[in-house]
Amino acid sequence: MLWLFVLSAIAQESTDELNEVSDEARFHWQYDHQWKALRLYRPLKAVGATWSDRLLVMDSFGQIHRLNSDGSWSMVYDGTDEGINEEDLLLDLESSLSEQWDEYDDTPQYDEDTEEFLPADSVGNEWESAIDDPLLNQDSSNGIFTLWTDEKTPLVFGCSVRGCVRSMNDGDAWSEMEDLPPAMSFSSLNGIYMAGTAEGLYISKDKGRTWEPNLNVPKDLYVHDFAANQQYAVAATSNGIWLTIDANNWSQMNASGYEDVEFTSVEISLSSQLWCMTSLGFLYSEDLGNEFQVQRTQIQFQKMLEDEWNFGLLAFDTEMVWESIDQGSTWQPLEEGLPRVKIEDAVAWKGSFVIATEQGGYYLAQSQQDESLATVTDISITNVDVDILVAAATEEIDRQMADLSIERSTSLLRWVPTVSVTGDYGHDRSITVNYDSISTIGMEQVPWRVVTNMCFGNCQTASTDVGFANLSDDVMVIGNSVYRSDLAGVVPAASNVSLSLHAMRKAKTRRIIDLYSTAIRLEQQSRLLLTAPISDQVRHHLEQEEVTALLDLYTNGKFYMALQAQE
Amino acid sequence: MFGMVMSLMMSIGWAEIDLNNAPIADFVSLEHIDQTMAESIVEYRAKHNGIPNVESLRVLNLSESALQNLREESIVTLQISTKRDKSYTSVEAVMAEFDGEPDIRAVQAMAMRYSKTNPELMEKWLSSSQRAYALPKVNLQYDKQLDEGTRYDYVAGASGELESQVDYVQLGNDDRVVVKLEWRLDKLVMSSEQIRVINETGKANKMREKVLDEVTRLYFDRRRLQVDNLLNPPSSLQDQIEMELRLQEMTANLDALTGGEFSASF
Repeated sequence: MLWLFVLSAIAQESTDELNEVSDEARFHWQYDHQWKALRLYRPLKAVGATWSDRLLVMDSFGQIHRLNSDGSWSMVYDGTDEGINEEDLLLDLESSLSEQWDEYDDTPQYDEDTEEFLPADSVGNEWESAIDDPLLNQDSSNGIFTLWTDEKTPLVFGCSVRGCVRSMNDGDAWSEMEDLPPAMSFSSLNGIYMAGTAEGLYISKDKGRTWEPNLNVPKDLYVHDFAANQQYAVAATSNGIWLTIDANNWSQMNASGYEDVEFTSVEISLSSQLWCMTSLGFLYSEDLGNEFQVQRTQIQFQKMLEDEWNFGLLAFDTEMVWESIDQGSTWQPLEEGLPRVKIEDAVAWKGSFVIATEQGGYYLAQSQQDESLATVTDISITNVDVDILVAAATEEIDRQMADLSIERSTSLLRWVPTVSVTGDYGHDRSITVNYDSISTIGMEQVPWRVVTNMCFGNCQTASTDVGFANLSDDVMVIGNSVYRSDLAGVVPAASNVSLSLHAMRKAKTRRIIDLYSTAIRLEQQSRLLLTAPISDQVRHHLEQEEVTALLDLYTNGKFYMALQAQE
Repeated sequence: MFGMVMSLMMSIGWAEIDLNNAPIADFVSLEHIDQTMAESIVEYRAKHNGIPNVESLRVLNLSESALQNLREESIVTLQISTKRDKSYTSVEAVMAEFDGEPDIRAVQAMAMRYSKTNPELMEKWLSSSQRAYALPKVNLQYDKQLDEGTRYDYVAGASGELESQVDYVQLGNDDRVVVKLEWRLDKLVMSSEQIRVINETGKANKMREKVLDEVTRLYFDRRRLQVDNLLNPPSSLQDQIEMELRLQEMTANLDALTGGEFSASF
């Protein structure tokens, strides 16, 4: 018994030591330390951030939702069977919740018993759990739920027990991937996409349209997780860690003693450092898995993410999120405001960290007060008005839409005459001018025409005829409006083209806003990269150049001019 | 500066001619390539210190059949180089290594010119469609009136019977020229042609953005690869070959999208 007590005391001391946070780590820390709810009150299974920084989540029904710019959510893919009206049920629930939630969301609540202010979210969560929510209280499925987003394109893959789907446009539209079994993980390298399934590793060379088994790896290789950077993709499998440089040919890394170890999660940095979670514990490698360093932690991480903002590593176990800035030697819990709920998935999004839990989504924002985020230079993208960029990008479309305005054209055409000059050698010479117009008489709109015919030459007379035009020949009625028949074929065509231009304008506006957001994110990140390795700085510089080039392209150089104007 | 330079012969299909070493006569021996073309290819090769890929020869305005023939009948010599004896302390120093290459805006302009989707061209279409109706519709009409009459005169013949005597008489001959100029001023306000041009312009703009997105992506993917090659050169020959092939592939794609101007501008 005494032995057990001593062992228990040693174990407790050891755990405290492992979780101890160094002063350096605290100084380095740049988040707000306060989790906030994402206001989608349903069990979430997976989360992803698209190339254009749109946040997507998958719930326990396989439905995929997207966060709108105003903080609301839209369901973009309904993975449920027809006939289940869960969305209506949930909307009603959310509607009633959100009204009350607003009272609790951002204001700390005063607890009279403890005479302390409670964090806003903890109050909200206590209250939330008291709601009789049929969706929150039901047992969640433990099947496969995967949401994967491509860093370089608007491509998104989603898998649930019902199958796999893909979107080519940040989640706007979805199509089924019928030849892919439910996949636990995805990744891409050099334009080839990889999926880890229970039936082995699959690859796609056409952005997920078709999939085929990768016969270069054992069929029973069970891939738990992928990670990739510009050069390599690594797979954490039931049979060690595997590596590829072309997504086709894989080789098992032969770190002595780890050949048959089960690797459950992996992350790779830009400079190819590896962090792995295994059945033997947490491992770190600087040479792509040829040799591993065992890191002293008892935490069983489910997933890890490189924290590019803080040059650290974020990870989560079943109920807590952790950060390390020393390659996993010490870990700091990020717990304030986070309820004790099961964490299912996590993603880095716009400098924040977002988690999907069984009680919805939570995010931890980057601290805006931190001095390290202060402006390094006076020239900043944030000083550029995004409205000016959108206006520049859509200028041409706006002008074309104005040219196509039916109302403007019709009102002008009522007074524009058709003119003809006829010269008849040896006989009459005449000028004929027709004026067309439409008058409203009572309830009727009556078209009329004045025909002026001036004759010179032999006729020696000038005549003016006035008459009403024939309705069927000279005008057409569309809705409540009467148009000249000259526009008979033009009006529907103009309407169609206008609709097409309108859609183009919308897409272009969204593209500009997405690029602008990315440019700001990259600018903020560059301030943190001043001491990073030169290769990381160059890669980041190229990414900034690429986004700037696209913004310049779409805004006809206005973006560059706006930056220059600040000098 | 370049620690190691290796040459590698990459064959494509049934390779017969080395693009970077073949004399003029060898080019002429190929179908669809005449003496003038062959001379221009060799001249281009001398001027640009080699031919990186067949697509770069688009700048010489070779026919598609000539280009296709070159793709099937030629090989390209690749030089694999790794930089080993220089370290860099700033982003600017790394980027300065690529000063001899065109910047992204220049490459975008090349692609716009080649795809004939530059905004100025679209603007020209639009203004032409609007101005067209300032000109009148000309109708030229010529009438010639030919009236002929036939007169019968009846006179008594030798037998005493009446005989007809035909006398042709031309009664009228009128020429008439009508010139009609018609201005459809309403078409200056709105016309189906104008709408069609606006529609086509929209399609061309979409194509331009698609092309330029692709060009921008290729340009920076290529530059990232160049930087990787510079800062972290592959250690094995196989990795070097693979990296060089990827680089050549991206260069060829950029040449295909810019009509060969990309490589020609080096």
